[in-house]
Amino acid sequence: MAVPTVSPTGRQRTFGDDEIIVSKTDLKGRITYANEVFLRMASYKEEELLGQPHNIIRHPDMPACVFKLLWDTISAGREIFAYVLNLARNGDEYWVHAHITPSYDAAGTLVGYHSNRRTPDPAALEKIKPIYAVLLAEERKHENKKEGLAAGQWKLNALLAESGKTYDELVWSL
Amino acid sequence: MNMLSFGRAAKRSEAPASDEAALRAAMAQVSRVCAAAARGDLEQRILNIHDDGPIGAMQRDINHLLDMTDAFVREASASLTHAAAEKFYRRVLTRGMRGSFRHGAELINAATEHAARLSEQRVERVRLSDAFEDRIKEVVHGVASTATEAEATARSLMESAESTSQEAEVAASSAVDTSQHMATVASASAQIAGAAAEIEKQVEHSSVMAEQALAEAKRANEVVSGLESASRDITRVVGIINEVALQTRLLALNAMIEAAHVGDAGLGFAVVAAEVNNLATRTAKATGEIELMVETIQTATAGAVGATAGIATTVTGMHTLLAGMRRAVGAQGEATVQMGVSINRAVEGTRLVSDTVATAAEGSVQTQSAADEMVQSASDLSRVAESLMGDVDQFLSQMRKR
Ligand SMILES: Cc1cc2nc3c(=O)[nH]c(=O)nc-3n(C[C@H](O)[C@H](O)[C@H](O)COP(=O)(O)O)c2cc1C
Repeated sequence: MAVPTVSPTGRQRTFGDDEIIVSKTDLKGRITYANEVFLRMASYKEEELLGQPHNIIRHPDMPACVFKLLWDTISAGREIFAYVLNLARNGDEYWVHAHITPSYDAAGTLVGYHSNRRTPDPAALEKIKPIYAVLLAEERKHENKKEGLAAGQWKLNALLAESGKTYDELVWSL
Repeated sequence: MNMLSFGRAAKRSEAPASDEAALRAAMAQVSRVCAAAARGDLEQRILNIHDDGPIGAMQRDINHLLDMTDAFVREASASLTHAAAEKFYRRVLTRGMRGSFRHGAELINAATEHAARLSEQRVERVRLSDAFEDRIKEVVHGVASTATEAEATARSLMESAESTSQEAEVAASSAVDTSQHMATVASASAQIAGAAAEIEKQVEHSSVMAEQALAEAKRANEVVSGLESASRDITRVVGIINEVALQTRLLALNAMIEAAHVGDAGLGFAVVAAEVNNLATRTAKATGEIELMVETIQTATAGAVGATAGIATTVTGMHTLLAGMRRAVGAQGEATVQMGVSINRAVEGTRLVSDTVATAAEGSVQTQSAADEMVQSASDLSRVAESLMGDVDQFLSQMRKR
């Protein structure tokens, strides 16, 4: 597990609206493909990424419950959209509007996962940031990661219940 | 920190002599990946790109093409899958897509938009149908329950009208009875009034008779009084006769004594004297008898006087009594006349009552038939409401179909 040891610089990176950041993983989330834009934004070489777990670009400010939901959703065969803050190799960060989907072979067997990331809408980001802050704060109340994750999930569900929306509806409404 | 430096580094590690072999390998890889993509396998990518020149560019371009195609297919599939499940919010993301990809995405989105509108319309139609159904059912139920109520009301109306008409019949016949009784009483009272008048007449007559009787009694009294004085006159005359007779006897006695003194010469005289004495004695005796008779007459007269006085008193009392009676009878007659008037009025009233009752009876009969019709109409209405409900159900089920 190549958990990044670099500390965030707080510097923002951006990419073009006509670009998409692409990566594919195996069933365990190990990177099997990363496109040019991915390599550029994350500041990794292809060979440094292939075979690595995707959390190689995880930003510490992302709530764990979002990834938990991500995995629960895609492993159930459904797509998910998420605004994700990523960490470049040097500690710089960049927001993406990620779309993660299961990949099937011709026989219809689940063979891995795929992600396309597009430039996020700034207005949407401003809405999601405070939500993530709340979730993160909830998770950080707990020393134990499992308990923190559970608390974050509980909080996320509470927020959704409050808004009267499903997670999908919420993300699409941003 | 980009692909180029990485590519350059990779290129630097390659020996120039193997350029052609590397080219062949790269071309084979491109060919394999493209063939897979052509088969519909969009998972394959060209990995480990180290070249910075046209080969590397081609490899990246092919990956780029595959990424765009892959993205388009995933987006289109996801959006259409969602749309099929009526989740129209899931649109094809056009960001990062260009040219035909973007155009295709936009077309799909337009179609989704249209489907969303249709779906909304359908939802609205269903909603309207539901609302309509609720409303119409409410109305129809209202109508049905009103009809049921109306029917019940009509039935009870009919029942009460029936009993009213029966009661009215009874009332009418008893009113007729009453009025007949009243008429009888009226005629009886008229008769009473007649009788009273008759009595009054008779009383008047009686009082006239009594007055006559009184007058006659007075006259009788007078007659009796005359008799009394006559008998007193007789007694006086009888006294005179008695005196005459006594003196005659004394004279006769004297004559006889004188005749005896004279002897024979007086013999004839003595006989006459004796005869005179005899006569006088007989006269005295007769007058005594007359006196007795007069006494009897007087006693009888006194009795007659008392009797006539009694008659007068009685007749006077009777007179007073008759006057009172006349007053009483007059008052009675008056009362009877008054009674007759009242009774006539009562008769009038009774007739009015019986007329009214007859009208009521007629009215209740009409009510009965009206209620009958109402029952009919109400049940008709119920039936109509029911069939309307059926029509509505059918209509709505048609409406709700896609
Ligand atoms: C196809 C795919 C793409 C992913 N992309 C990202 C990403 O861009 N950034 C990220 O932090 N995690 C990404 N993840 C999630 C990671 O697998 C991981 O769950 C996450 O980084 C959290 O790491 P942790 O589970 O070790 O805390 C991706 C997963 C899959 C399957």
